[in-house]
Amino acid sequence: MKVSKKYDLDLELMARQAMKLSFNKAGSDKSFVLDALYWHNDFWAHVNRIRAH
Amino acid sequence: MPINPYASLLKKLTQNKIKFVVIGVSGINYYADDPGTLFSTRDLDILVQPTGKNVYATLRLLEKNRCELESNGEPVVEVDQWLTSKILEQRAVITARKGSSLRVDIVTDAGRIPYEKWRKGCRYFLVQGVKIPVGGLPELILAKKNSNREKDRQFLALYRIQLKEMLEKAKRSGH
Repeated sequence: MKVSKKYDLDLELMARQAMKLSFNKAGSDKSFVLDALYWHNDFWAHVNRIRAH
Repeated sequence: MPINPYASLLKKLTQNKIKFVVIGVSGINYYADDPGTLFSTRDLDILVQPTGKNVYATLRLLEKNRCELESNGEPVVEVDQWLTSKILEQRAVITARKGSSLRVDIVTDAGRIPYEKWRKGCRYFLVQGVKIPVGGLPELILAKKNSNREKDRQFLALYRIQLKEMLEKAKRSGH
């Protein structure tokens, strides 16, 4: 099968975009993991305070 | 929004050159893509390099940050070299608490996996500009398998499919 030059370029572009995406993902901030932990504990602390009354 | 005490503590550990790896369910959560796929947990498990110098520095830092320390339900106060050596000897888990929202378990031994292997397989995740060392996903799951605790067996059984998908995704993305 003959692959056109345009097809090659499209593939290269897609590969570059995928690399860019994975790079962004690898460098993305994971603050939400610690925020969830904090809010989860905070929520239960409130629940326990209410239960104690 | 208040400063997250967990983020603040991890930042201080890094700044003070403490050698550690985040493990447990809180470690597995770093491999989640979004808050919707997080596993529920109430504490942060930190494996520290099991050397006297490192464990002592970790506990002193926690004390300095007004954390209440305890082990096996007993308070741990005025940490010194002798106490540190006993903690290492007994492989005691130290729980650090501050207020109602911070609970951290400090361990020197985890999942029958040597610290060096944890460190070798660890991945770094960014939290507010700070690189946090987190155990590799295969080691985190293996540690759960090795723990021989009912709650870990249930966790693995309940989330088998989700964990498998996370592992596959982590492999693809080089995590």
